[in-house]
Amino acid sequence: MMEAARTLGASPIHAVLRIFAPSARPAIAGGLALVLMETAADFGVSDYFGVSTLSIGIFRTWYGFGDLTAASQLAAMLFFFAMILVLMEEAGRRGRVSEEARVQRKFTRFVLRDRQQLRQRILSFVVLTGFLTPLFLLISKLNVVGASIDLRSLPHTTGNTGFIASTGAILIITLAILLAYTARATKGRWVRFLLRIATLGYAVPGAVIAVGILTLLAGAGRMVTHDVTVVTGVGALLFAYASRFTTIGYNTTAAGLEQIDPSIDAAARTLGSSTTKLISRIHLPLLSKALASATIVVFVDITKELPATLILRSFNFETLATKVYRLAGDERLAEAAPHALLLIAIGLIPILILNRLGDRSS
Amino acid sequence: MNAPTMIQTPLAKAGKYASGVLLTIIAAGLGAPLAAVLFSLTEPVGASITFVFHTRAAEYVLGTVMLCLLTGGIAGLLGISTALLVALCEFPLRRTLSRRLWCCPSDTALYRRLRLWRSVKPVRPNRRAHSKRLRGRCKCCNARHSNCRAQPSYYHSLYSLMSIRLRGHHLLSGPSQ
Repeated sequence: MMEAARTLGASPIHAVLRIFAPSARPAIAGGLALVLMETAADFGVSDYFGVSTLSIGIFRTWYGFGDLTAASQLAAMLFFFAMILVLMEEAGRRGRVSEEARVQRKFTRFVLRDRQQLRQRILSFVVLTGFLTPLFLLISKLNVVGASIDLRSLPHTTGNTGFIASTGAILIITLAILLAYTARATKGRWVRFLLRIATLGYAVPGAVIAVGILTLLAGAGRMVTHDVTVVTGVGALLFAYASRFTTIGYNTTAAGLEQIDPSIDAAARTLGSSTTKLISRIHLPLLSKALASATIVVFVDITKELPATLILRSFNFETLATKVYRLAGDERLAEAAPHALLLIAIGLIPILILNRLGDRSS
Repeated sequence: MNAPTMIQTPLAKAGKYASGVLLTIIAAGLGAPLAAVLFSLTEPVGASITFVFHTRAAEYVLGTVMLCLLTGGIAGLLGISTALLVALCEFPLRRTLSRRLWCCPSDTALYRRLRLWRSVKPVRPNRRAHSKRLRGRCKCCNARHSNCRAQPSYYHSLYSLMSIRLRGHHLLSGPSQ
Protein backbone atom coordinates (compact mmCIF):
# COMPACT_ATOMS: atom_id res chain seq x y z
CA MET A 1 0.00 0.00 0.00
CA MET A 2 2.83 2.35 0.87
CA GLU A 3 4.51 1.63 -2.44
CA ALA A 4 1.24 2.16 -4.30
CA ALA A 5 0.72 5.47 -2.51
CA ARG A 6 4.23 6.59 -3.39
CA THR A 7 3.80 5.68 -7.07
CA LEU A 8 0.57 7.72 -7.06
CA GLY A 9 2.59 10.74 -5.99
CA ALA A 10 2.09 10.86 -2.23
CA SER A 11 4.98 12.26 -0.20
CA PRO A 12 6.39 9.98 2.54
CA ILE A 13 4.73 12.03 5.31
CA HIS A 14 1.43 12.11 3.42
CA ALA A 15 1.60 8.34 2.83
CA VAL A 16 2.31 7.71 6.50
CA LEU A 17 -0.52 9.96 7.68
CA ARG A 18 -3.14 8.83 5.14
CA ILE A 19 -2.24 5.15 4.68
CA PHE A 20 -0.01 3.82 7.44
CA ALA A 21 -1.57 5.58 10.44
CA PRO A 22 -5.18 4.47 9.76
CA SER A 23 -3.98 0.91 9.04
CA ALA A 24 -1.96 0.87 12.23
CA ARG A 25 -4.81 2.31 14.32
CA PRO A 26 -5.75 -1.02 15.96
CA ALA A 27 -2.13 -1.68 16.89
CA ILE A 28 -1.71 1.86 18.23
CA ALA A 29 -4.96 1.59 20.21
CA GLY A 30 -3.88 -1.79 21.59
CA GLY A 31 -0.43 -0.53 22.50
CA LEU A 32 -1.72 2.61 24.19
CA ALA A 33 -4.36 0.65 26.07
CA LEU A 34 -1.64 -1.68 27.34
CA VAL A 35 0.45 1.27 28.50
CA LEU A 36 -2.53 2.81 30.28
CA MET A 37 -3.57 -0.47 31.90
CA GLU A 38 -0.04 -1.09 33.15
CA THR A 39 0.18 2.49 34.45
CA ALA A 40 -3.17 2.27 36.24
CA ALA A 41 -2.19 -1.09 37.73
CA ASP A 42 1.29 0.02 38.78
CA PHE A 43 2.02 0.11 42.44
CA GLY A 44 5.78 -0.01 43.04
CA VAL A 45 6.88 3.02 41.03
CA SER A 46 3.97 5.21 42.16
CA ASP A 47 4.60 4.35 45.78
CA TYR A 48 8.34 4.93 45.52
CA PHE A 49 7.88 8.36 43.94
CA GLY A 50 5.00 9.29 46.21
CA VAL A 51 2.29 9.63 43.54
CA SER A 52 -1.12 8.97 45.06
CA THR A 53 -3.04 6.63 42.77
CA LEU A 54 -6.01 4.36 43.31
CA SER A 55 -3.70 1.33 43.71
CA ILE A 56 -1.89 3.14 46.52
CA GLY A 57 -5.26 4.08 48.01
CA ILE A 58 -6.31 0.42 48.13
CA PHE A 59 -3.11 -0.48 49.98
CA ARG A 60 -3.41 2.40 52.43
CA THR A 61 -7.04 1.62 53.14
CA TRP A 62 -6.35 -2.06 53.73
CA TYR A 63 -3.16 -1.69 55.76
CA GLY A 64 -4.07 1.62 57.44
CA PHE A 65 -7.73 1.11 58.34
CA GLY A 66 -7.82 -2.69 58.14
CA ASP A 67 -11.19 -2.26 56.44
CA LEU A 68 -11.60 -4.82 53.69
CA THR A 69 -14.97 -3.50 52.51
CA ALA A 70 -13.59 0.01 52.04
CA ALA A 71 -10.56 -1.40 50.19
CA SER A 72 -12.92 -3.44 47.98
CA GLN A 73 -15.02 -0.39 47.21
CA LEU A 74 -11.93 1.54 46.17
CA ALA A 75 -10.84 -1.49 44.14
CA ALA A 76 -14.21 -1.41 42.38
CA MET A 77 -13.45 2.18 41.30
CA LEU A 78 -10.13 1.05 39.87
CA PHE A 79 -11.90 -1.87 38.18
CA PHE A 80 -14.31 0.52 36.43
CA PHE A 81 -11.34 2.64 35.36
CA ALA A 82 -9.71 -0.46 33.85
CA MET A 83 -12.95 -1.38 32.09
CA ILE A 84 -13.11 2.06 30.49
CA LEU A 85 -9.63 1.41 29.11
CA VAL A 86 -10.72 -1.99 27.78
CA LEU A 87 -13.73 -0.42 26.05
CA MET A 88 -11.50 2.29 24.59
CA GLU A 89 -9.16 -0.38 23.24
CA GLU A 90 -12.04 -2.29 21.67
CA ALA A 91 -13.45 0.90 20.16
CA GLY A 92 -10.04 1.59 18.65
CA ARG A 93 -10.01 -1.82 16.99
CA ARG A 94 -13.60 -1.77 15.77
CA GLY A 95 -14.20 -2.11 12.06
CA ARG A 96 -10.67 -3.21 11.20
CA VAL A 97 -9.82 -6.32 9.20
CA SER A 98 -8.14 -8.94 11.36
CA GLU A 99 -4.47 -9.40 10.78
CA GLU A 100 -4.69 -13.11 10.13
CA ALA A 101 -6.70 -12.48 6.98
CA ARG A 102 -3.94 -10.49 5.37
CA VAL A 103 -0.99 -11.77 3.46
CA GLN A 104 2.19 -10.26 4.86
CA ARG A 105 4.64 -9.29 2.18
CA LYS A 106 8.26 -8.28 2.52
CA PHE A 107 8.42 -4.50 2.72
CA THR A 108 11.25 -2.48 1.22
CA ARG A 109 12.31 0.05 3.83
CA PHE A 110 13.31 3.63 3.06
CA VAL A 111 17.01 4.27 3.52
CA LEU A 112 17.54 7.35 5.68
CA ARG A 113 19.85 10.14 4.49
CA ASP A 114 22.36 11.92 6.76
CA ARG A 115 20.03 14.68 7.97
CA GLN A 116 17.20 12.25 8.59
CA GLN A 117 19.55 9.96 10.48
CA LEU A 118 20.02 12.68 13.08
CA ARG A 119 16.35 12.40 14.08
CA GLN A 120 16.69 8.64 14.15
CA ARG A 121 19.72 8.91 16.44
CA ILE A 122 17.87 11.19 18.82
CA LEU A 123 14.98 8.75 19.05
CA SER A 124 17.29 5.76 19.42
CA PHE A 125 19.19 7.60 22.14
CA VAL A 126 16.01 8.36 24.09
CA VAL A 127 14.71 4.81 23.85
CA LEU A 128 18.00 3.08 24.56
CA THR A 129 18.84 5.31 27.52
CA GLY A 130 15.45 4.51 29.04
CA PHE A 131 16.80 1.04 29.61
CA LEU A 132 20.55 1.45 29.71
CA THR A 133 20.77 4.31 32.22
CA PRO A 134 18.93 2.49 35.04
CA LEU A 135 20.86 -0.67 34.22
CA PHE A 136 24.25 1.05 34.49
CA LEU A 137 23.14 2.83 37.66
CA LEU A 138 22.24 -0.50 39.23
CA ILE A 139 25.56 -2.01 38.17
CA SER A 140 27.43 1.02 39.55
CA LYS A 141 25.66 0.60 42.90
CA LEU A 142 26.86 -2.97 42.89
CA ASN A 143 30.47 -1.94 42.23
CA VAL A 144 30.69 0.87 44.78
CA VAL A 145 29.55 -1.09 47.76
CA GLY A 146 31.19 -4.32 46.66
CA ALA A 147 31.66 -6.85 49.41
CA SER A 148 29.49 -5.08 51.99
CA ILE A 149 26.26 -6.13 50.25
CA ASP A 150 24.41 -8.79 52.17
CA LEU A 151 23.59 -11.42 49.58
CA ARG A 152 22.56 -14.17 51.97
CA SER A 153 18.89 -13.74 51.23
CA LEU A 154 19.40 -13.69 47.45
CA PRO A 155 19.35 -17.48 46.81
CA HIS A 156 16.33 -17.93 49.07
CA THR A 157 14.42 -15.09 47.41
CA THR A 158 15.36 -16.34 43.94
CA GLY A 159 14.23 -19.84 44.92
CA ASN A 160 10.89 -18.48 46.12
CA THR A 161 10.46 -16.52 42.90
CA GLY A 162 11.37 -19.51 40.75
CA PHE A 163 9.05 -21.78 42.71
CA ILE A 164 6.01 -19.51 42.63
CA ALA A 165 6.56 -18.44 39.01
CA SER A 166 7.04 -21.97 37.68
CA THR A 167 4.13 -23.40 39.70
CA GLY A 168 1.93 -20.52 38.59
CA ALA A 169 3.00 -20.93 34.95
CA ILE A 170 2.20 -24.67 34.98
CA LEU A 171 -1.20 -24.03 36.57
CA ILE A 172 -2.05 -21.25 34.16
CA ILE A 173 -0.98 -23.17 31.06
CA THR A 174 -3.07 -26.14 32.20
CA LEU A 175 -6.09 -23.87 32.61
CA ALA A 176 -5.34 -22.21 29.27
CA ILE A 177 -5.20 -25.58 27.48
CA LEU A 178 -8.52 -26.60 29.05
CA LEU A 179 -10.10 -23.29 28.03
CA ALA A 180 -8.69 -23.42 24.51
CA TYR A 181 -9.92 -26.97 23.91
CA THR A 182 -13.32 -26.11 25.38
CA ALA A 183 -13.57 -23.09 23.10
CA ARG A 184 -12.63 -25.30 20.14
CA ALA A 185 -15.24 -27.91 21.02
CA THR A 186 -18.14 -25.58 21.77
CA LYS A 187 -19.21 -22.40 20.04
CA GLY A 188 -21.90 -19.86 20.74
CA ARG A 189 -22.65 -16.56 22.41
CA TRP A 190 -22.74 -18.08 25.90
CA VAL A 191 -19.32 -19.68 25.41
CA ARG A 192 -17.89 -16.37 24.18
CA PHE A 193 -19.33 -14.65 27.26
CA LEU A 194 -17.81 -17.22 29.64
CA LEU A 195 -14.46 -17.03 27.87
CA ARG A 196 -14.59 -13.25 28.16
CA ILE A 197 -15.12 -13.53 31.92
CA ALA A 198 -12.36 -16.11 32.30
CA THR A 199 -9.90 -13.93 30.39
CA LEU A 200 -10.87 -10.55 31.79
CA GLY A 201 -8.26 -10.65 34.53
CA TYR A 202 -5.38 -9.31 32.51
CA ALA A 203 -6.98 -5.89 32.18
CA VAL A 204 -7.65 -5.73 35.90
CA PRO A 205 -4.94 -4.41 38.24
CA GLY A 206 -3.32 -6.92 40.56
CA ALA A 207 -4.41 -4.95 43.63
CA VAL A 208 -8.08 -5.33 42.64
CA ILE A 209 -7.75 -9.08 42.19
CA ALA A 210 -5.85 -9.41 45.47
CA VAL A 211 -8.53 -7.51 47.37
CA GLY A 212 -11.20 -9.65 45.68
CA ILE A 213 -9.44 -12.81 46.81
CA LEU A 214 -9.08 -11.41 50.33
CA THR A 215 -12.82 -10.74 50.37
CA LEU A 216 -13.52 -14.29 49.23
CA LEU A 217 -11.13 -15.71 51.82
CA ALA A 218 -12.66 -13.56 54.53
CA GLY A 219 -16.12 -14.81 53.53
CA ALA A 220 -14.91 -18.41 53.65
CA GLY A 221 -13.22 -17.77 57.02
CA ARG A 222 -16.43 -16.24 58.37
CA MET A 223 -18.35 -19.33 57.33
CA VAL A 224 -15.86 -21.71 58.96
CA THR A 225 -14.88 -19.90 62.16
CA HIS A 226 -17.76 -17.38 62.47
CA ASP A 227 -15.11 -14.70 62.75
CA VAL A 228 -13.21 -12.49 60.36
CA THR A 229 -10.24 -14.71 59.60
CA VAL A 230 -8.17 -14.29 56.48
CA VAL A 231 -5.65 -16.96 55.60
CA THR A 232 -3.25 -16.02 52.83
CA GLY A 233 -0.29 -17.86 51.38
CA VAL A 234 0.96 -19.64 48.32
CA GLY A 235 -2.51 -20.97 47.40
CA ALA A 236 -4.00 -17.47 47.45
CA LEU A 237 -1.07 -16.19 45.39
CA LEU A 238 -1.56 -18.90 42.77
CA PHE A 239 -5.27 -18.09 42.65
CA ALA A 240 -4.48 -14.42 42.04
CA TYR A 241 -1.93 -15.22 39.32
CA ALA A 242 -4.34 -17.61 37.62
CA SER A 243 -7.10 -15.02 37.71
CA ARG A 244 -4.82 -12.37 36.27
CA PHE A 245 -2.58 -14.16 33.78
CA THR A 246 -4.76 -16.92 32.32
CA THR A 247 -5.53 -14.46 29.52
CA ILE A 248 -1.94 -14.61 28.34
CA GLY A 249 -1.80 -18.38 28.36
CA TYR A 250 -5.21 -18.73 26.74
CA ASN A 251 -4.58 -16.23 23.94
CA THR A 252 -1.30 -17.81 22.95
CA THR A 253 -2.58 -21.39 23.21
CA ALA A 254 -5.81 -20.63 21.35
CA ALA A 255 -3.86 -18.86 18.62
CA GLY A 256 -1.63 -21.94 18.26
CA LEU A 257 -4.64 -24.24 18.26
CA GLU A 258 -6.31 -22.17 15.54
CA GLN A 259 -3.50 -23.15 13.20
CA ILE A 260 -4.45 -26.82 13.39
CA ASP A 261 -7.07 -27.57 10.78
CA PRO A 262 -10.11 -29.37 12.25
CA SER A 263 -10.03 -31.76 9.27
CA ILE A 264 -6.80 -33.18 10.71
CA ASP A 265 -8.71 -34.11 13.86
CA ALA A 266 -11.46 -35.67 11.75
CA ALA A 267 -8.93 -37.68 9.75
CA ALA A 268 -7.26 -38.92 12.92
CA ARG A 269 -10.61 -40.00 14.23
CA THR A 270 -11.33 -41.98 11.10
CA LEU A 271 -8.00 -43.72 11.60
CA GLY A 272 -9.31 -44.79 14.96
CA SER A 273 -7.09 -42.65 17.15
CA SER A 274 -8.37 -41.89 20.64
CA THR A 275 -8.55 -38.38 22.09
CA THR A 276 -5.37 -38.98 24.09
CA LYS A 277 -3.52 -40.18 21.02
CA LEU A 278 -4.83 -37.28 18.94
CA ILE A 279 -3.59 -34.78 21.49
CA SER A 280 -0.25 -36.45 22.19
CA ARG A 281 0.72 -37.36 18.62
CA ILE A 282 -0.75 -34.49 16.61
CA HIS A 283 -1.76 -31.51 18.70
CA LEU A 284 1.12 -31.40 21.17
CA PRO A 285 3.93 -31.44 18.54
CA LEU A 286 2.14 -28.69 16.64
CA LEU A 287 1.38 -26.68 19.77
CA SER A 288 4.76 -27.06 21.43
CA LYS A 289 6.12 -23.67 20.36
CA ALA A 290 2.95 -21.82 21.31
CA LEU A 291 2.91 -23.53 24.71
CA ALA A 292 6.60 -22.81 25.27
CA SER A 293 6.16 -19.13 24.49
CA ALA A 294 3.04 -18.89 26.65
CA THR A 295 4.88 -20.52 29.56
CA ILE A 296 7.80 -18.12 29.21
CA VAL A 297 5.61 -15.03 29.06
CA VAL A 298 3.52 -16.13 32.05
CA PHE A 299 6.67 -17.01 34.01
CA VAL A 300 8.14 -13.57 33.37
CA ASP A 301 4.92 -11.80 34.27
CA ILE A 302 4.56 -13.66 37.56
CA THR A 303 8.18 -12.92 38.38
CA LYS A 304 7.54 -9.19 37.97
CA GLU A 305 4.13 -9.09 39.67
CA LEU A 306 4.14 -6.90 42.78
CA PRO A 307 0.80 -5.64 44.18
CA ALA A 308 -1.03 -8.98 44.45
CA THR A 309 2.12 -10.65 45.80
CA LEU A 310 2.53 -7.96 48.44
CA ILE A 311 -1.05 -8.28 49.65
CA LEU A 312 -1.44 -12.05 49.50
CA ARG A 313 1.99 -13.45 50.42
CA SER A 314 2.48 -15.11 53.75
CA PHE A 315 4.92 -13.72 56.30
CA ASN A 316 8.59 -14.04 55.33
CA PHE A 317 7.72 -15.15 51.83
CA GLU A 318 9.79 -12.78 49.73
CA THR A 319 10.05 -12.80 45.96
CA LEU A 320 12.58 -10.75 44.02
CA ALA A 321 9.94 -8.10 43.25
CA THR A 322 8.80 -7.70 46.87
CA LYS A 323 12.39 -7.66 48.09
CA VAL A 324 13.38 -4.92 45.64
CA TYR A 325 10.27 -2.95 46.60
CA ARG A 326 11.01 -3.24 50.32
CA LEU A 327 14.73 -2.45 50.04
CA ALA A 328 14.15 0.45 47.64
CA GLY A 329 11.42 1.77 49.97
CA ASP A 330 14.03 1.87 52.76
CA GLU A 331 16.46 3.62 50.36
CA ARG A 332 18.80 0.61 50.61
CA LEU A 333 19.43 0.89 46.89
CA ALA A 334 22.78 -0.88 46.94
CA GLU A 335 21.22 -3.93 48.56
CA ALA A 336 18.30 -3.78 46.17
CA ALA A 337 20.63 -3.65 43.14
CA PRO A 338 21.57 -7.37 42.89
CA HIS A 339 17.94 -8.41 43.31
CA ALA A 340 16.84 -5.90 40.69
CA LEU A 341 19.56 -7.01 38.27
CA LEU A 342 18.56 -10.63 38.72
CA LEU A 343 14.94 -9.66 38.11
CA ILE A 344 15.96 -7.90 34.89
CA ALA A 345 17.95 -10.96 33.80
CA ILE A 346 15.07 -13.32 34.55
CA GLY A 347 12.74 -11.06 32.59
CA LEU A 348 15.10 -10.37 29.74
CA ILE A 349 16.66 -13.73 28.90
CA PRO A 350 13.39 -15.58 28.17
CA ILE A 351 12.18 -12.68 26.04
CA LEU A 352 15.42 -12.72 24.05
CA ILE A 353 14.91 -16.46 23.54
CA LEU A 354 11.35 -15.72 22.39
CA ASN A 355 12.65 -13.11 19.96
CA ARG A 356 15.18 -15.60 18.59
CA LEU A 357 12.42 -18.20 18.19
CA GLY A 358 10.29 -15.61 16.43
CA ASP A 359 13.12 -14.66 14.06
CA ARG A 360 13.66 -18.32 13.15
CA SER A 361 9.97 -18.95 12.56
CA SER A 362 9.54 -15.89 10.37
CA MET B 1 -25.16 -27.32 -2.77
CA ASN B 2 -24.71 -26.79 0.94
CA ALA B 3 -21.70 -28.23 2.72
CA PRO B 4 -22.34 -31.55 4.46
CA THR B 5 -22.76 -31.33 8.21
CA MET B 6 -21.18 -33.54 10.86
CA ILE B 7 -23.48 -36.07 12.55
CA GLN B 8 -23.96 -35.19 16.23
CA THR B 9 -23.50 -38.47 18.05
CA PRO B 10 -24.73 -38.71 21.68
CA LEU B 11 -21.10 -38.97 22.77
CA ALA B 12 -20.23 -35.72 20.97
CA LYS B 13 -23.23 -34.01 22.53
CA ALA B 14 -22.19 -35.24 25.98
CA GLY B 15 -18.66 -33.99 25.29
CA LYS B 16 -19.99 -30.56 24.40
CA TYR B 17 -22.08 -30.51 27.54
CA ALA B 18 -19.08 -31.49 29.65
CA SER B 19 -16.98 -28.81 27.93
CA GLY B 20 -19.65 -26.24 28.73
CA VAL B 21 -19.74 -27.26 32.38
CA LEU B 22 -15.96 -27.19 32.60
CA LEU B 23 -15.85 -23.75 30.99
CA THR B 24 -18.49 -22.46 33.42
CA ILE B 25 -16.53 -23.77 36.40
CA ILE B 26 -13.24 -22.25 35.23
CA ALA B 27 -14.87 -18.92 34.34
CA ALA B 28 -16.67 -18.81 37.69
CA GLY B 29 -13.43 -19.57 39.53
CA LEU B 30 -11.36 -17.01 37.66
CA GLY B 31 -14.07 -14.36 37.74
CA ALA B 32 -14.88 -14.84 41.44
CA PRO B 33 -12.40 -12.21 42.74
CA LEU B 34 -13.84 -9.60 40.38
CA ALA B 35 -17.37 -10.54 41.38
CA ALA B 36 -16.39 -10.20 45.05
CA VAL B 37 -15.02 -6.72 44.41
CA LEU B 38 -18.16 -5.66 42.56
CA PHE B 39 -20.37 -7.22 45.23
CA SER B 40 -18.71 -5.00 47.85
CA LEU B 41 -20.47 -2.02 46.22
CA THR B 42 -23.78 -3.36 47.51
CA GLU B 43 -22.55 -3.31 51.10
CA PRO B 44 -23.32 -0.27 53.28
CA VAL B 45 -20.90 2.64 53.16
CA GLY B 46 -18.64 2.44 56.22
CA ALA B 47 -16.78 5.07 58.19
CA SER B 48 -13.44 4.29 56.52
CA ILE B 49 -14.60 4.75 52.96
CA THR B 50 -16.49 7.92 53.94
CA PHE B 51 -13.29 9.27 55.45
CA VAL B 52 -11.31 8.31 52.36
CA PHE B 53 -13.87 9.98 50.10
CA HIS B 54 -13.78 13.17 52.14
CA THR B 55 -10.02 13.37 52.35
CA ARG B 56 -8.05 11.47 49.69
CA ALA B 57 -10.33 9.98 47.03
CA ALA B 58 -10.13 12.97 44.68
CA GLU B 59 -6.34 12.92 44.96
CA TYR B 60 -6.25 9.19 44.15
CA VAL B 61 -8.47 9.57 41.09
CA LEU B 62 -6.67 12.67 39.86
CA GLY B 63 -3.28 11.02 40.43
CA THR B 64 -4.31 7.93 38.46
CA VAL B 65 -5.79 9.94 35.59
CA MET B 66 -2.85 12.35 35.35
CA LEU B 67 -0.31 9.55 35.55
CA CYS B 68 -2.13 7.63 32.81
CA LEU B 69 -2.46 10.69 30.56
CA LEU B 70 1.17 11.74 30.92
CA THR B 71 2.59 8.23 30.62
CA GLY B 72 0.28 7.43 27.72
CA GLY B 73 1.20 10.67 25.99
CA ILE B 74 4.94 10.24 26.35
CA ALA B 75 4.89 6.52 25.61
CA GLY B 76 2.60 7.08 22.65
CA LEU B 77 4.73 9.86 21.20
CA LEU B 78 8.02 8.02 21.62
CA GLY B 79 6.62 4.57 20.96
CA ILE B 80 4.67 5.33 17.81
CA SER B 81 7.43 7.42 16.24
CA THR B 82 10.09 4.83 17.08
CA ALA B 83 7.89 1.99 15.86
CA LEU B 84 7.25 3.88 12.61
CA LEU B 85 10.95 4.48 12.21
CA VAL B 86 11.84 0.85 12.83
CA ALA B 87 9.05 -0.46 10.59
CA LEU B 88 9.50 1.87 7.63
CA CYS B 89 13.15 2.89 7.51
CA GLU B 90 16.51 1.23 7.20
CA PHE B 91 19.38 2.65 9.26
CA PRO B 92 22.30 1.46 11.36
CA LEU B 93 21.25 -0.13 14.68
CA ARG B 94 17.70 -0.72 13.41
CA ARG B 95 17.68 -4.32 14.60
CA THR B 96 19.10 -3.38 18.00
CA LEU B 97 16.46 -0.72 18.42
CA SER B 98 13.67 -3.06 17.37
CA ARG B 99 14.91 -5.68 19.82
CA ARG B 100 15.03 -3.03 22.51
CA LEU B 101 11.42 -2.19 21.76
CA TRP B 102 10.39 -5.78 22.24
CA CYS B 103 12.65 -7.05 24.93
CA CYS B 104 11.42 -5.47 28.13
CA PRO B 105 7.70 -5.79 28.70
CA SER B 106 6.50 -9.33 28.25
CA ASP B 107 3.02 -8.03 27.46
CA THR B 108 4.39 -6.52 24.30
CA ALA B 109 6.13 -9.76 23.53
CA LEU B 110 2.80 -11.47 23.98
CA TYR B 111 1.23 -9.23 21.38
CA ARG B 112 4.08 -9.97 19.04
CA ARG B 113 3.73 -13.69 19.61
CA LEU B 114 0.05 -13.51 18.85
CA ARG B 115 0.77 -11.76 15.59
CA LEU B 116 3.48 -14.25 14.82
CA TRP B 117 1.32 -17.28 15.39
CA ARG B 118 -1.52 -15.83 13.39
CA SER B 119 0.67 -14.84 10.48
CA VAL B 120 1.95 -18.39 10.12
CA LYS B 121 -0.03 -20.28 7.49
CA PRO B 122 -2.43 -22.83 8.97
CA VAL B 123 -1.07 -26.35 8.83
CA ARG B 124 -2.93 -28.02 6.00
CA PRO B 125 -2.32 -31.27 4.19
CA ASN B 126 0.25 -31.03 1.43
CA ARG B 127 -1.61 -32.06 -1.71
CA ARG B 128 1.52 -32.27 -3.82
CA ALA B 129 3.28 -34.60 -1.41
CA HIS B 130 0.14 -36.66 -1.24
CA SER B 131 -0.10 -37.05 -4.99
CA LYS B 132 3.56 -38.10 -5.03
CA ARG B 133 2.79 -40.63 -2.37
CA LEU B 134 -0.06 -42.02 -4.44
CA ARG B 135 2.39 -42.50 -7.29
CA GLY B 136 4.72 -44.27 -4.90
CA ARG B 137 7.38 -41.52 -4.96
CA CYS B 138 6.90 -39.93 -1.55
CA LYS B 139 10.23 -39.01 0.08
CA CYS B 140 8.89 -36.88 2.84
CA CYS B 141 9.84 -39.25 5.61
CA ASN B 142 13.51 -38.84 4.72
CA ALA B 143 13.60 -35.35 3.23
CA ARG B 144 11.65 -32.97 5.39
CA HIS B 145 9.49 -30.42 3.65
CA SER B 146 7.71 -27.42 5.07
CA ASN B 147 4.28 -28.77 5.83
CA CYS B 148 5.37 -31.95 7.58
CA ARG B 149 5.43 -30.62 11.13
CA ALA B 150 3.80 -33.62 12.70
CA GLN B 151 5.33 -37.04 12.39
CA PRO B 152 5.53 -37.36 8.61
CA SER B 153 4.43 -40.92 7.93
CA TYR B 154 1.51 -40.67 10.31
CA TYR B 155 0.60 -37.35 8.80
CA HIS B 156 0.41 -38.68 5.27
CA SER B 157 -1.54 -41.74 6.24
CA LEU B 158 -3.98 -39.30 7.78
CA TYR B 159 -4.17 -37.46 4.52
CA SER B 160 -4.87 -40.65 2.64
CA LEU B 161 -7.82 -41.17 4.90
CA MET B 162 -8.91 -37.62 4.28
CA SER B 163 -9.01 -38.24 0.58
CA ILE B 164 -11.30 -41.16 1.28
CA ARG B 165 -13.44 -38.79 3.23
CA LEU B 166 -13.52 -36.37 0.32
CA ARG B 167 -14.58 -39.08 -2.09
CA GLY B 168 -17.21 -40.62 0.14
CA HIS B 169 -18.04 -38.21 2.90
CA HIS B 170 -20.83 -40.42 4.13
CA LEU B 171 -18.24 -41.81 6.55
CA LEU B 172 -18.20 -38.59 8.52
CA SER B 173 -20.99 -36.44 7.26
CA GLY B 174 -24.72 -36.39 7.28
CA PRO B 175 -26.90 -35.88 4.21
CA SER B 176 -26.74 -32.57 2.36
CA GLN B 177 -29.42 -30.12 3.31
